[in-house]
Amino acid sequence: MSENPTRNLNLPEEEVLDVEDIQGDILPGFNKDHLTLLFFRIKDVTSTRSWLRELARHVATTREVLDDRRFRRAITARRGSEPDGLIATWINLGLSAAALQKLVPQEPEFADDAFRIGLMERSGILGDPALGSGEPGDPRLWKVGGPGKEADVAVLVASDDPAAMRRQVQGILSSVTNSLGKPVLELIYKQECHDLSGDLKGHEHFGFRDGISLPGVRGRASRDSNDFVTPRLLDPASVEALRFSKPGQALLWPGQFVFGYRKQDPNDPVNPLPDLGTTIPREFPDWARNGSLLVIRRLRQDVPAFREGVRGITQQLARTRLPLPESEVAAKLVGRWPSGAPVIRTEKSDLVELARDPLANNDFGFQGSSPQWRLRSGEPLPAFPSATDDTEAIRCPRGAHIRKMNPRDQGTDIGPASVTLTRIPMRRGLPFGKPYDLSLKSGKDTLRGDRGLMFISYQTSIVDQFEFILSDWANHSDKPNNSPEGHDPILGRPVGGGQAVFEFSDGTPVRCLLDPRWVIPTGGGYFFVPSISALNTVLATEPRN
Amino acid sequence: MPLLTKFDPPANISDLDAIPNGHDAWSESIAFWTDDAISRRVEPLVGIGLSQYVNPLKKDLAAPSATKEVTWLAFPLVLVAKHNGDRNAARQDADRKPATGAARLHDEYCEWHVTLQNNKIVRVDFTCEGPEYWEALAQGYPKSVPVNSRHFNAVGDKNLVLTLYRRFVSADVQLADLFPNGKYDPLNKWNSSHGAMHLTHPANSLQAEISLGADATVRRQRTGIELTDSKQLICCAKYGGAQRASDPTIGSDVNALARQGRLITLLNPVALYIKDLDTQGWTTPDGTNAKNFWKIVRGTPGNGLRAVFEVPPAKGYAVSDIKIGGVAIQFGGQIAEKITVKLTGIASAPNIVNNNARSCAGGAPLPGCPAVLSGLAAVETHEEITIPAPRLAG
Repeated sequence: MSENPTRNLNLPEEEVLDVEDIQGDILPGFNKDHLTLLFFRIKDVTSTRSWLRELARHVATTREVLDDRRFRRAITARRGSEPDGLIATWINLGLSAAALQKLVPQEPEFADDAFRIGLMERSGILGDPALGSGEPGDPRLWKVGGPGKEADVAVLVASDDPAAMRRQVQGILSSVTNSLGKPVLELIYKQECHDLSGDLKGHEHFGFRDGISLPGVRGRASRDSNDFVTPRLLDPASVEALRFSKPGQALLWPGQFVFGYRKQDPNDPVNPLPDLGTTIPREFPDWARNGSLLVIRRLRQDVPAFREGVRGITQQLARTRLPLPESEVAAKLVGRWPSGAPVIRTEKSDLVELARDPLANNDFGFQGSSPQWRLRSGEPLPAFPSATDDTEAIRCPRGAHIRKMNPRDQGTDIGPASVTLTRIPMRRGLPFGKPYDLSLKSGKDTLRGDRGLMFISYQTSIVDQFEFILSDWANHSDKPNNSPEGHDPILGRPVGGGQAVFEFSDGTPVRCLLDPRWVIPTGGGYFFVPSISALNTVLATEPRN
Repeated sequence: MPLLTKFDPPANISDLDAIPNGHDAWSESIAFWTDDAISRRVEPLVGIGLSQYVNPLKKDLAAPSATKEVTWLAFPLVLVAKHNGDRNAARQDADRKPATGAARLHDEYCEWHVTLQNNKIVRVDFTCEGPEYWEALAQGYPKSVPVNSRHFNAVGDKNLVLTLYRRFVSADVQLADLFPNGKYDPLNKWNSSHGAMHLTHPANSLQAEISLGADATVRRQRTGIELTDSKQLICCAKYGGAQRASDPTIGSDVNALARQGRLITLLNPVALYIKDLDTQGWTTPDGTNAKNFWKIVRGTPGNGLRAVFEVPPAKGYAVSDIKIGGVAIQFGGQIAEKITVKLTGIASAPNIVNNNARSCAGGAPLPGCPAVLSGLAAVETHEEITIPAPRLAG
């Protein structure tokens, strides 16, 4: 193996990211068990500028978060277990388009329609109930982000320790009032999120392990040719190392998530689109370089409704030629068993060891493309059952949540698999609320159903990366690929308010009807996450008249 | 499944019923393209009599059969790529009317024509009718069917063509516009600069659709490993435009059926159809459901050949006053982005034919096919690299 592995295989050169300037939840992501979101409205524009500049000193950068991640990884590798007692607390922040209008009115707008218009007015495209309809999910009922409650500023405080997190939060809340007691910013809403504990650690409220499939990101943290932000586990002399960082984890160009870097070419999984340069209209104003667009969606999860829904589908199937056990029904709705093991690799029962193995749990395609990987370490790959060519969608239904959200090697209604890579957002969410069953131990659900997932994602196009996947793939039964078909049972809202369907198959589709309103939007917003330098300069400066 | 007796016109539309021998000539045309694709394109690769793409007039698809509906969005992916992801630039380009006699840029088998009034869009016409159908209406047989394959005395009906153009494009259409020198001109002004009656892009033809379907039934391998990934397949087999939304997915979905050993053909009536328009999140000034302004004017809902999006003048507002997710409709392409086009394949039971996978088509890579997916040199050192395998069922 050459000392410079890129020489062997025409590996494309990956740019150095401005790791001291990019906010750290974008890349590599906070990845903490505790997170508080604070949503503010700007009351005093001038004072907000100084507040931003002051807060910028405390904002966590990619450099800091990455160093912490690597530090912990090194300790874990040596000791065989995660270190105890290390506490890091991180702060990041985002600004809405309305906030930018107030702070930098002289600057050109972003090209992204969704960011400019804002979540509330875009929510119709996502399939949310209409404003004023009174239905659960109606933006009028949102905790934040609905009429009169749209946030200008979102602050994210993450920590290994809830007490440390709360101290930081308190500090921020105190800072939004000036020395005369006047509000600089007004708090609209505060939400604590915590990773679920015990058997549900790393899982969401319906009981399924979450966040297994995150894309890798190309780019280096320094000029060292091997200092990749996303660890590379594959043998650099293997052709798959051109496209993947570890089995099943595609590498995407950083311009998909951070402004100012090269973007993914819809025709070429390996080489990026050429840099746009200055002659073509930019998607972002110059000062927004090293920033990103942030989607926050507070999603309530109705756990008893989900369980009842699964039971109902199981009963429908029992009357057909394809009866299935309830556990398999639930797994096929999601596409993974509760442990995270993908049904395409283990159709009839969960396989916890597979789910726990990061070299296996994301290693599959839906049409049989599952390369024979070669690891850098030389170790053999874990020997678990393989994924099959499931174009008939027998093992994993077409409507299965993970098959809808990421079609992998399948062709879709927007082209072949290489195009799909341009549509993937970077997810960073965390659950909120205690699990349903724990809540019931006291006799009744003290949360009254208010538990769920704080969905968080980063992308440079909200329209193409976040909204499209929902509005097109989740909400249509015949997308991204058809026959059999199915709406996304977790997130889908059938277009036109029609009947949601989900087809299982044994070679011929078996159709079930469902009412997939198990996930209800209850708030959120679209924000821009600026670079540290932008917080210190453009955003902190009074515009010249 | 019993043998089909005749191929039918797109959406079973009735135009040909009034033309003596019209239906028979149409059926013969589809049969010609089908047999031609099988004998000229598929059998040389898989062997005579071993084509998995079949002519349903001649070969029975053994029951039970599977239906595969392939869908894609109508806005041309190549235009978004051409403009480096600048969607508004792509939309502007797409909406530009071609010069008289020139084709449109829309290559996803759905083309459109925008009507403006006072700088606002008042109407958009969408068509996915192949040029061959209109050639048949005009003169009996499509141009690409050779004379010695024509066994019916079908001469078309120029007046019917004129009537249809006048009904759907403009009352001002004249016979001489459509038939200069007595022959039908598919790029006449009413189908190029001044309207859209049917498809014009050179890649958008029924014959091409049938050829694509046939080509895609040939299984492919590279270094002994069968290909299944949608992009790898089209780059290897070169069966269509690799940068389009339609061809790669049609190809990989058909190929999947072929890998299961099925006999495959396109569902009769063979055509491309407008399946639906997604108006979720569209708002109108007076709260009317925007879907009300969408009409299938040829074909049927779900199998549309021609659709119009138009606000009646009495409403007092225009198409451009309608918003999609808060963004006003400034381009017909914004509507095209929400149109689903479809093609349906039908297949026999599995395990009827077990052909070996062929190696990739030679020659230069297709546009939109990077070296690494065309099997070309990705390795400077010329080391033997195994292109990793899809794991087979086990």
